[in-house]
Amino acid sequence: MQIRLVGIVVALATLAPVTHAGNFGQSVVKIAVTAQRPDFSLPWQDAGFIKMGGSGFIIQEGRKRWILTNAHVISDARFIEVKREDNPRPRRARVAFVGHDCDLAVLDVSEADFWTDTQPLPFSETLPELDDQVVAVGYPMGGDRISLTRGVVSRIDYNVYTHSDVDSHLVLQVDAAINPGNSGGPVLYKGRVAGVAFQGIQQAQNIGYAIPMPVIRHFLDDIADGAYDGYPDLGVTHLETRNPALRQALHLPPAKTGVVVCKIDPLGSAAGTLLPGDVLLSIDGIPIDDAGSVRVKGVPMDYIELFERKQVGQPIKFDVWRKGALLTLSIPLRRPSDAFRFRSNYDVRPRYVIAGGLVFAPLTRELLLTLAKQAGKPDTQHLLYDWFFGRLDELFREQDERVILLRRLPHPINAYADPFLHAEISDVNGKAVRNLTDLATALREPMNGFHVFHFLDRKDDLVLDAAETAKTEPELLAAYGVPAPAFIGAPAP
Amino acid sequence: MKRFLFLILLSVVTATAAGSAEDSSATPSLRRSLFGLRVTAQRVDPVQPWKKGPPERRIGYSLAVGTNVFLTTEQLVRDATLVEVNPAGSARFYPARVLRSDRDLNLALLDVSKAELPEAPIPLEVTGLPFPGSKGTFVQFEDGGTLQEGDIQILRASMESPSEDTPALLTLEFLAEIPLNGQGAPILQNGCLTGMAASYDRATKLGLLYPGRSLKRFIDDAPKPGYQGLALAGLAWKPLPDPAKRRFLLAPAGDRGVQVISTVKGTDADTLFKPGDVLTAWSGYPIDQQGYYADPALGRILFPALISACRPGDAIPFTLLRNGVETQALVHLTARGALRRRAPEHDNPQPAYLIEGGLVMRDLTGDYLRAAGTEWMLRANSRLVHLYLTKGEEDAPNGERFPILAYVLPDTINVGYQEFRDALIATANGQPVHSLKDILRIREKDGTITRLGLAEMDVDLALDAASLPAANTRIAENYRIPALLVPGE
Repeated sequence: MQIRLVGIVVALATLAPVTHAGNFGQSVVKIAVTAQRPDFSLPWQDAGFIKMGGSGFIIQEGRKRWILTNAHVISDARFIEVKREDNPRPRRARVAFVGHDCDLAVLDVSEADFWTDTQPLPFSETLPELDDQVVAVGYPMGGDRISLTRGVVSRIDYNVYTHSDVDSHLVLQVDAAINPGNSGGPVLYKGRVAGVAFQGIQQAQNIGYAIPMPVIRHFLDDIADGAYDGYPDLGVTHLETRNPALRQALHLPPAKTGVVVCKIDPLGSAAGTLLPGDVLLSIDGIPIDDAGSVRVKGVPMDYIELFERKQVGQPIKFDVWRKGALLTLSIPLRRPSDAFRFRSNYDVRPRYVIAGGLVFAPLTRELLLTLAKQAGKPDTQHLLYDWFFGRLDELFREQDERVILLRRLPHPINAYADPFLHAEISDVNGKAVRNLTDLATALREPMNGFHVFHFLDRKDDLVLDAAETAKTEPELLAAYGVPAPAFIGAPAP
Repeated sequence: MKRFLFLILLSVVTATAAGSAEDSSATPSLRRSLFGLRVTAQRVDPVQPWKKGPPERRIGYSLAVGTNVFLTTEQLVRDATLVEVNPAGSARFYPARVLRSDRDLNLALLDVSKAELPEAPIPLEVTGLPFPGSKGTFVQFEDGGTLQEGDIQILRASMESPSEDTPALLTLEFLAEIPLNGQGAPILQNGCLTGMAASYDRATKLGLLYPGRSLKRFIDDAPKPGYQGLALAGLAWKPLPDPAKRRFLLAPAGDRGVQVISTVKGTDADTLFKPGDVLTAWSGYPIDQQGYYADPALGRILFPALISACRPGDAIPFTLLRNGVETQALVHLTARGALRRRAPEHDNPQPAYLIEGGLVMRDLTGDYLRAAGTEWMLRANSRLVHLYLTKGEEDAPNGERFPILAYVLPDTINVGYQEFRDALIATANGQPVHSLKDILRIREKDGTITRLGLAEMDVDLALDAASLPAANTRIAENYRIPALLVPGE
């Protein structure tokens, strides 16, 4: 199944039927974006311009009005304009806050008259149920006027958000047509916002997804303090306790249910509080069953969904069965660590270091997607391992990030470097490399007049003559149009 | 080397019609030396090792090389359930037994002493090394069973691997205008067997043969007890053309020397070489920076060709430079078969496994991963593939392997665990394990395996000891598994 984002740039669907009802011109805006993605394979330059479009709608938080939309509508934007249907003069907008992990963003417009007569849409306080009727409003491709499509909620599920391609949150599946351009528009239930339209499934009809209110509320609450922290990460792998022999081994009484903690991520919030073998019996007082589900107002859901509603800095309470005793533990929730998560990167400038025409860069999701096609070979298979198991196997203990030999800018000085392409740096000039900054630092001190690159799981070293490397740098950079030999920047947040 | 496999699939040798046919060739005596070979083989399923795949038919040739002893390729007889030989001009097939097969050398010896052949086979004299530029003859069966000769010209010598999982062997490339129709066909020069065809490509008319020198050594050594197989230097090397690296390693001026990049633990080479050494001569021959030497008979060829002429234990003189200082010494070759990899390429003929409470346990092998198909590096579990590629060749003197929980056969006893697969096993019944053998040892002592610890988590999977016997019986019946435990060799 391939899930698509529904910005106009990925337009694939046919024109949906439009029924114009109600006055949404004061509430729902059309967003036009000129974006420019970096070229991660040539990290010193950007790819071409992309004209993107989407929808957004006016909300009010306290006394402040914003435009709520999807993060993917405004990612890597160079220029954003918004337009009301009832006042079609485009206004320049800026991104006030963005949450790439939940695909939401709020925009601000500095021209005060833009907000005159705007009508913020109210939020629904309840999650619609299956078969409840909803209306998707927005500016899908095919015209400049507002479009409405009706449908019902066909599923409420926990699913991957394709914008980051890593994070999973609650989603509202609807059979109302959600087409390219609908992204960021409201999905209304009884006239109130129940979700933000955000993605669909290619080759599937009448399946669209909306970000439901619990996720929207989490985002808006998060930014209320002026910064977006993202979702906390519990950092626990669990095993259900349906097996009687496992229950017996855990000395779990028959009346108690829950899931057993089988691994703790040292970078997660639970580290230092929970222990492997702990059975999580309840979360914030709500019992967890032996398959990891909880019931909230009669609706079954994974216990992680309750955890998701928490903000960084808040505590979460678990009743825990530990070695035959009942404990109640409160876990303060920390900011998540992105180490070896390989989220999609947005609004960042790719980092790199060039030495002797060899381009070194941190391994990112963007590079992984490019290189995955070559990952069926022994010399690139390690990239797949890093991708799928790097975090679980705690590779962050050895390195902060993987730095790979991304590319060779051909020159006689590096004529023998191709066998090392895509290999991961272990140490340079005898100094351990944990990140790109370490690499740049190590290159300042050659070994006996040579730069010696040692790679993970490689028996051979790559060697450059240090004097020749320095001498050829201007010529190399000029020949390949590289403005600077390095951009170290800061690691992706 | 695709050509090797290509030939097996396209072999078109057919049995003759009833009755004998006159040989029109100049090699009538070969009627009693060259035999057709028909093999029925069944491969054990590498993922469900209690099952065998459908029988497959292979056809090729075998050559009489001793009293009731025939030579053929290992690829033809691999996983054989029935091996039969067919005299020239006869419609009858006679059973043969595999005496020894060597996957590394792609050679096998067959015993036909119980075949009751109509005429005693005449062993061929095996000798020599066909050299590039020389001409020879191959012999094969035509339709009808008559012998057919064809001319070949030896083009060049090279080091080629018969398959993805075996080392490179000395082979000679030849050109034959008449298409060869089967592996194992004899290559004759001056009336002697100087080679055996390993492959042929009808499109290019090019084939590969194993030289008589390699065949002779196998024929002499294979029947002996304690056969050691292919000799191995025990070091990995790379060409050294990079001028900067040559200066860094203080390699000699000019174009001599390759770089030693690693050694195999447990070999003599491990005590004599270090990564970064520059190997400049082997067995008295200077080596160039690409690893070639000038062989008086074969011409320019990679220096491992010299090893192919040796036996395990042979002492080879070499010259190296370490930090610019030249050293000369002798290195003793190691038997490749004596090395014990942590993750072997295969676990043939029958992979060992244990199924306890539906938990399928085994050791990681290359065959297991390759069962994911041609794109196995993409499709198989990337953690196991990484382990195999990076640590698979590690020395395992005490039989250490990578024991894995391959998957779980769903049953009530293993409810809650059924999603686990391809997970490295760390403990059994609370004790550390480093191979399936360790698990079996614990099972023998404790009677059952009721707790299995996986490397990826810190809580053991538990099985109910009281329910286990009935569950095992149920699982065996349900999944039609004839044996829940196969301990292997």
